[in-house]
Amino acid sequence: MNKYKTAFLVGVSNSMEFRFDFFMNLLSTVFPIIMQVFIWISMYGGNGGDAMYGYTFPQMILYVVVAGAVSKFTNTGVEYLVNEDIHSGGIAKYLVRPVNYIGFRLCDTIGNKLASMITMVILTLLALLVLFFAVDFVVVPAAVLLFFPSLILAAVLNFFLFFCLSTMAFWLTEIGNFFHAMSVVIMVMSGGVFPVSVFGHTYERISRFIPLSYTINYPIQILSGVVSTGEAVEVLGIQLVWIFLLAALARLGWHRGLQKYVAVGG
Amino acid sequence: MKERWRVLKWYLKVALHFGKLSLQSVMEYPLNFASGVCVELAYMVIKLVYLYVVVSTGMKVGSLTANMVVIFVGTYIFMTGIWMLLSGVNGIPDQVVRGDLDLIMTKPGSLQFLQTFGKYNFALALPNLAAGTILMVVGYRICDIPVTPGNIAIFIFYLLMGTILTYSFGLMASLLVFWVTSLNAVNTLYSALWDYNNMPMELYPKIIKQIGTFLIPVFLITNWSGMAVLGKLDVLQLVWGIVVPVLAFFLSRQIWKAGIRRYTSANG
Amino acid sequence: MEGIVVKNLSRDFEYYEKEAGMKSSIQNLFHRKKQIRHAVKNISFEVQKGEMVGFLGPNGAGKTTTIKMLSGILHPTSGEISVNGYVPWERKNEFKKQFAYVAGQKSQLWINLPAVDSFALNKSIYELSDTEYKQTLGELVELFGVQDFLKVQVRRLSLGERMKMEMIAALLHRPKVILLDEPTIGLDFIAQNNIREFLKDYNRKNGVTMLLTSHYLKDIEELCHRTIVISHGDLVYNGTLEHIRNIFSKKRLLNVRWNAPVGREALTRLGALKSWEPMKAVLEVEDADVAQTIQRLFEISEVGDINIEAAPLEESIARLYGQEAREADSEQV
Repeated sequence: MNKYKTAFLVGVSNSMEFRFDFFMNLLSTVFPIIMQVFIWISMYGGNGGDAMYGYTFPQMILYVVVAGAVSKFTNTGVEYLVNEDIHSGGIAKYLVRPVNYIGFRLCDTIGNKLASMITMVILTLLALLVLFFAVDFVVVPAAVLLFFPSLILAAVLNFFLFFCLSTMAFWLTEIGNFFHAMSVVIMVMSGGVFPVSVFGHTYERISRFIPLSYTINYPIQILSGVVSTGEAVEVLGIQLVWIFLLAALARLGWHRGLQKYVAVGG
Repeated sequence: MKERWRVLKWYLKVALHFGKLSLQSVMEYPLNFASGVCVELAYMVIKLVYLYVVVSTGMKVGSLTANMVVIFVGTYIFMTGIWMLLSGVNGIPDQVVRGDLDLIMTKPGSLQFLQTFGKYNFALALPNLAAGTILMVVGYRICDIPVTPGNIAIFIFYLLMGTILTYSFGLMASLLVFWVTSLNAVNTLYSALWDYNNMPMELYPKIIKQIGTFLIPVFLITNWSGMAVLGKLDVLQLVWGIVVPVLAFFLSRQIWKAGIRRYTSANG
Repeated sequence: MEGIVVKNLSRDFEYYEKEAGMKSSIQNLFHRKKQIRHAVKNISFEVQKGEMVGFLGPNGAGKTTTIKMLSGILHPTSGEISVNGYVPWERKNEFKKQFAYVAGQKSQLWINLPAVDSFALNKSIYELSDTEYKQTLGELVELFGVQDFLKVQVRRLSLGERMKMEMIAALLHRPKVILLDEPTIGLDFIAQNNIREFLKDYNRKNGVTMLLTSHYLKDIEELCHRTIVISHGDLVYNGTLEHIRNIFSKKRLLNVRWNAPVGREALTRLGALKSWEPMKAVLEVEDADVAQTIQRLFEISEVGDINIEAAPLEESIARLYGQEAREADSEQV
């Protein structure tokens, strides 16, 4: 257990290493959110204040504010690390140690995410406060309570999703750019920029049956009260199911890949 | 005069040579080129999603109609292409960390020129330049702006000013590497600022408009072309759109010099 | 004024330290301890026009730092340099056109293109005429024997081939001063030899001033008339390698082979016995005693073969390095 704890602590320490980075990251999370807020102010202003895409104005604002932070939080970047480990031969050092690589990466990633976790909690609370005083928007306490576990699950889900993708690096070289493109598309399709409902009913319906929107869209819907408490619990359940499925797939892909890696000798 | 002419010819010849070699390099690895294009297309999806929301709801952005917004998003995508093209500028942080300026420093000619125009990334630039141009042309047509030589000249002139700004700002952001250990966050921040141009500045409240025009004049990069031909800028603003790029260029040059002084005094 | 003059040259670097653990990470958020390392300490030397001088020293001794200051890449903390009458760090065009900097671990070639494309680029940058370019390129290509590799992508060349191409790219403008930083690093034996042969030829034919650093003794031994040894930033020696041998070692090694077995005891009286087998032995003696010892050896038994060697140069140089090693090279501020 201790080695996983160390992986976590080193992750935290790394993310604090560059103080400048820390503040810059905070700013670069906030800036796009501000832009988004203005878009929606303008949209709802022209619209007379009716609900759009299934969201009331405060719900939409809460969505874009939290989505900006959530997409940063759940985007783990694990695919680059795994890719590098595979292609630079770095996995050899994990293979000879009694460590479960996937478990190790998971702990390291969560540790590294602590800084953006703090940013996100602060931002969410700020948004809730501002909305409360500005437009009397109140969230249900149950929603807040369910939001945070669903967020952790979202990050874990996202981790396994990208871990699955990254095992492709065993078979393909020069895959870095592909990961980059994929992560952007996945972020958009998960609802990281706009709520999924903006992309039309058809996609919204499809999105219920694929894991993507469970990493950003649904956790925020839980918070903003777009889905009821009952549905929220259902979302948590579906997240768990996806985590197990993808974890199994990640394990499978990893072992298949290792077999190939060992056979070819890197 | 003759000497000036010779120097100018040298700059042109060497810049073209750099361009030629960059293009040749790309052609050696068409797959890398394709994957670079994919990345930019993915990012373009985000940019176009914003446009899609505006056009599909037909919303007005300040005094601009949804059709007019097409021009601005087009300009924004085009300028993103210019930014991506200048890999000599964007590559400075990596090269400084690796100590790769060393060899370039020993070459005759301006170091800033040799570095910043020394490499181009066509893979990241081309999809943006192409899509941006198409959107600008389409937007221009559907807004029924008169196609007069004067209008075209004004539009292109401010595109040029935007290009100078893109170069200068990109350079300044990259040069922070001399003072900051890790540039990742600076890049993210600069990208975040850059993305404010995804929507025309008309979207934002007055205070932000003024910050983006005077304090951190990023709005000048993509808004002035469209605003000028739509007749939405007064003389003062038109002049400001010339003053800022010139100032920014000289400022970036000064920061470049300071950065190089630091390189020659700090780098091991 | 041609040649290189270095006077009281010093160079310090600042750096920060972080101790292990979370606590110091947090401390570093607010305050960092500044440290200073003296990479080069007050060194002076001269290199005449056309001379080929070697810079010898262990890793981190300050060789690269000095070469970078000579090339204008680094600004010294104090001191003066003149290279062919120019101050390097002013980086004047006239200066840059008459010197070349070659570093074994840095590349100016476009890795995805054949080297000849990078050469053509240098032709544009240095404003060489077609005839000049063709002639110089032809000469260099022939000297290195790389005709067959000119059109091969640089990334597909072997390290040795690549280094030769780097050299050609650096020498196209016919520099009068060449500064080489570890030009043979990481190369195999044959490639190292090729580069050495080339540099020797090139120096002889063109009379250019050359300063080269290496931690391979062989490079320096074969190429340079004069050697400057630096260790921990200090110049510890400036002269010929032969002289190092002389000051440090008056000892000689006698390798002897007999036709019949000889006992150990008989030999220990003659000098320090370095190795012994019944039929052969190695003895270390003072150079003054060599003749006498040989005579004695013949008295002991019938000698089949004998040869006399100087003590290995590496040992002497290691002692030079060691002289300064005890001094601390870092202090807190």
